[in-house]
Amino acid sequence: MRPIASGPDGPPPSDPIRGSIRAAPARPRPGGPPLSSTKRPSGNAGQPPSTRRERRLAERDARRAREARRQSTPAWRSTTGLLTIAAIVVGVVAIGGLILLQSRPSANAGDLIPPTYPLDPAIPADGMTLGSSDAPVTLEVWSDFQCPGCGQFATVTEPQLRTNEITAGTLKLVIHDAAFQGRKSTAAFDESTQSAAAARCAGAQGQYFDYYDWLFANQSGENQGAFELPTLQSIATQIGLDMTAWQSCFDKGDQQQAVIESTNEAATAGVTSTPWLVINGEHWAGGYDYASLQPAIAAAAASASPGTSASPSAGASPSPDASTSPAASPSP
Amino acid sequence: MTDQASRPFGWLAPAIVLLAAIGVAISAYLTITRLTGGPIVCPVGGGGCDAVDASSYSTILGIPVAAFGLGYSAVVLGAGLAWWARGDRRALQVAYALGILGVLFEAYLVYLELFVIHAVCAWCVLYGVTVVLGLVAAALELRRTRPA
Repeated sequence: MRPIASGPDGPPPSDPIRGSIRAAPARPRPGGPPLSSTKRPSGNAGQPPSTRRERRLAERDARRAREARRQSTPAWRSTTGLLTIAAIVVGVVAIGGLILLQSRPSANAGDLIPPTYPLDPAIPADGMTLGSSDAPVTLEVWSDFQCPGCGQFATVTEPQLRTNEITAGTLKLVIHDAAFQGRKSTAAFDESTQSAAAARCAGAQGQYFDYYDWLFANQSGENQGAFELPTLQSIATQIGLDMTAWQSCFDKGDQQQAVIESTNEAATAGVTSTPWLVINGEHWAGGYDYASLQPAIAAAAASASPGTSASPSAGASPSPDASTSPAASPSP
Repeated sequence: MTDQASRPFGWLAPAIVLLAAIGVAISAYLTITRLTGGPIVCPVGGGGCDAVDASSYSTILGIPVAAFGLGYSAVVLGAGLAWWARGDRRALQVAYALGILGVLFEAYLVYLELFVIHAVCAWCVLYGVTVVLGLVAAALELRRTRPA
């Protein structure tokens, strides 16, 4: 590395004597400001200064010469100026590269599949309830985000229910957590409970069903890491949640506890499989495809008068209607 | 005989060292929690740190951003010490150039937190403050010790 003294900022003034020796014979540069060397005592040019006065004068000359040199160099060509420019260029190039690199979908976000059916914003949603509160028919679904049947119901049957009965105001859907699948695993991160809690935290921001749709769209195996924390966070990011609030909710653990309590209630009440459907308080075991469900819903609508259907409070963990539950103990 | 103005006497040199040392401490903590998978104790509570830490932007080419910060702060700390203890002006210039790079990266990271991740990590903000103040101190010191 070159010595500091030779840098464009000029030599270090640590040795004024030597500096004055070098500077003494300085002559005005062509076109540069005039130097005041004319005041120097005659016959001394080129000689080492001997008296204190000569040394002072020589120092002053040297200082003026350096000043003149510095003034003739644009500020941006100083070491500091060049360093600033170089650092900004390197920084901008590096950040540009980083933006390009990160603009490609990350491994995690790239694996996420968006829901293939839209959630109509015109449909009223309140916590874990979708549809008008005045709907004559209530379809309660005890569900687990890891259960393949629940995925089938959510991605195939439910879009048709939303398009028809729910939009028409005939039906409202109430989701209950029955997060049994995670209990089959010894993993510390129970994907059923955690994904359900993640959805409830999205519900705290009014986006339960957005999150619900993304979870089911990305269902893949049971307890195989499809709903690990990074995926849950990616979904929250994808649907535009306030991540600080969502993460705070998720970390608190209240929602996980609510999911566990809901699942325990389901077990106590005899929910033996998921999705477990209850239509206006009556367990429905006639199949969860639309063709099977639609007549049952229509019949319930015909026989029920509005306002008498069971409507558990949204977001809570209501007990299933014990009278409609089988007596057998659950073995999910 | 020495020119006092060109030497690192004053409070700016220790300030550069202190700020870099704080940066090392914060980034080391974030790197360790990242590598061990432990929870981040956020200085102001909330889940911002966990959200930012778990986002896809918390790593570059598989390396945690906090580890880059640790390396960055360690180099600035070394440069600051070299300037403070030995008066090596090149070291001060390194600290200054790194300061500019650091501030640019911090600006990008703050943008990501506010507009992409929608979560703010208080540790990251605190770290950013040390980077910005470190640049200001290095710039002032460079100006103060500019050769005549």
